[in-house]
Amino acid sequence: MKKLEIILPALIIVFTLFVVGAGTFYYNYSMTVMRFPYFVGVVLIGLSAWRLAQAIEGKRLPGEPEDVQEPTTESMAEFTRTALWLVAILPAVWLLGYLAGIPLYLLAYFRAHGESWLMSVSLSLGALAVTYFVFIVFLRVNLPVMPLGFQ
Amino acid sequence: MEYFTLLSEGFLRVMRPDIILIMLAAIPFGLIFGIVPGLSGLTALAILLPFIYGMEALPGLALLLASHAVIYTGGSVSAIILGIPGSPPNAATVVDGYPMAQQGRGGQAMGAALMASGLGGVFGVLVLVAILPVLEPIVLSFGSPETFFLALMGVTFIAIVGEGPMQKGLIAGALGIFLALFGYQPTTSVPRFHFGSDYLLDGFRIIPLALGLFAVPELIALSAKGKSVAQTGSISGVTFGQVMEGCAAVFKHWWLFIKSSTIGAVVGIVPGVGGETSPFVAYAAAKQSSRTASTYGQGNIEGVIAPESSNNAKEGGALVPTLAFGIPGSTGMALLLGGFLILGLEPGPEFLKEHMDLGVGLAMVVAIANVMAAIVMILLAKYIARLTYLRGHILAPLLLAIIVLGTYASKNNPMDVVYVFVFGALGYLMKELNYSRAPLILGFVLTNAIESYLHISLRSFGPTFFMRPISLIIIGLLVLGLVWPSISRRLRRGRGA
Repeated sequence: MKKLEIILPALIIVFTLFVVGAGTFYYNYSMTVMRFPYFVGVVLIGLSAWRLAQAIEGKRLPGEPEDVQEPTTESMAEFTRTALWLVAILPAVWLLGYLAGIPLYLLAYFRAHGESWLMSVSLSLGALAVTYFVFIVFLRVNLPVMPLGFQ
Repeated sequence: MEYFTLLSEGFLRVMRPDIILIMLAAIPFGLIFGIVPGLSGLTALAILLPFIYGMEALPGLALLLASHAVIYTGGSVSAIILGIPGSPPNAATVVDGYPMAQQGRGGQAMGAALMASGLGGVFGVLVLVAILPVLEPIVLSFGSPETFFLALMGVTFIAIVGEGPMQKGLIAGALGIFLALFGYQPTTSVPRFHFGSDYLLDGFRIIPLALGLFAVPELIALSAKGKSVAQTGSISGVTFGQVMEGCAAVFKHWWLFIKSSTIGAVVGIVPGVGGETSPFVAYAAAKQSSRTASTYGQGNIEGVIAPESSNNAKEGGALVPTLAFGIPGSTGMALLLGGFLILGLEPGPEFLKEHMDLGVGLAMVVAIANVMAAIVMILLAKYIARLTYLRGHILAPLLLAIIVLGTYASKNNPMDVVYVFVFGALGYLMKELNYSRAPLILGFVLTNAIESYLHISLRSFGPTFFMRPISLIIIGLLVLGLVWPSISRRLRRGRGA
């Protein structure tokens, strides 16, 4: 956690400096356009730098729990697995379209997490029905329904 | 007389078939999110946000408000049956509700909680409708400098009193404001920080941001947990007769109900506080004045009525600063402000002047939703509570599919879906590191107003635009809010020494 406590404010500082710097030196925005970003940028960088210094010192802030557990290798691996499974919906809908991608993603997810074939197939077909009838027929959303390259 | 005219007009405004239908869809959604621990009201609001695109103002906001208003009604059931609060504000209900369930009086506790929640919600609305007309002349005396400082105070207050340390809340609020600076600048229409991307010309969107911050981290937690939350507790012993006995107990303890609902409505009005505070304040007040105080914590029905009355009453109170000043009274209201933005409305002094009818209509939505939810839950709580047996592995991907479809449907832009995950990573980091996420969304939502009013104030009044009486009072309150936590810490330390 200590590393993350350092990384987040550091990232915020770098991001803010980059954006404000681009506005000033690359886009040459007028003062009217940049006045407010300067003001917010100074506050944001100031607060983040203060937090960064505290995190490097290992100082705990008032209101924070005393015994914060550092993530273990197992918990990190578990988190990565969970996050990757969730993010996998992106390539699924991009490659297969929403109508086929979502049910197939769900089927793969349920099976990989130990659900029975009956449960997995029923829920995936339910999702297919909801996607088609609610989003395409009822809400008339222009969903990309065909696999990539076939629309 | 005017009060009752306002109420009846608001009621008639809501009694449209499309609005009733929308509420009937929103209420079960809110109840389910309330019942399943780990799925908060904020997640429900974030998931519903994409669906209000293209709607009229009242039906769109009715969808959000009706689901939000009943979250804690659902949450009370899991607090009583499982001993796990469905939402954080239901935590006070666990203290007496869970022991009642273990003693075989779960039905009574549920009846009392549901009736207190439903009537508490109506009480909060009556307070709201009484206050709004009184506030109108006050807020109309606010000019652009006062509105600028009010908006700034809103972000600051929610950063101070929200979850996690104040300093992290302030960073989140400032980051939210900074993220909203992308896209066309409001007064000059210059495309700012677009980095050659068409997507960024319009700036970041509220829907991917809200879903990323509030839904994705909860889905990761739900998916990682895998199992169902209902490991303990049983709903098999709950009978309808018991539930009705519990409902009757609220009328028997009517004074306690009035007192607790008043506490809820008043605490709800204080910007950013509401949340978990009001049920515990109501519980403590009930215990202090009770003749049976010694049995609190062992299954006293008063300990269920008090927190649940205040819980739902606070939402009516929280709507007061949200509608009148554009400052949310609770974290849920911060997301609701996002809904206003999507529908092209800006709560605040002008809103009250031009849309008082809409404000009262929204109040009636809250009241009707509370009554409908209480009736549904009294009849079906036993069955709806079975949802807590759903495994995280099933819930998480299904909700993710709704999020992906809803996000795409809002603007037909696949980049929105990608940004859900980008902001999801930020939301997860913030959650893990104890950064409050509500100030970020509020800062994001209010930035347009903050920057515009700053610009107008500078042009109209010059650099000394803050030297106006009301502005100085707001600045004083803002500074007091910032230094108060450290003063109170020192005072506590001084008393302890």
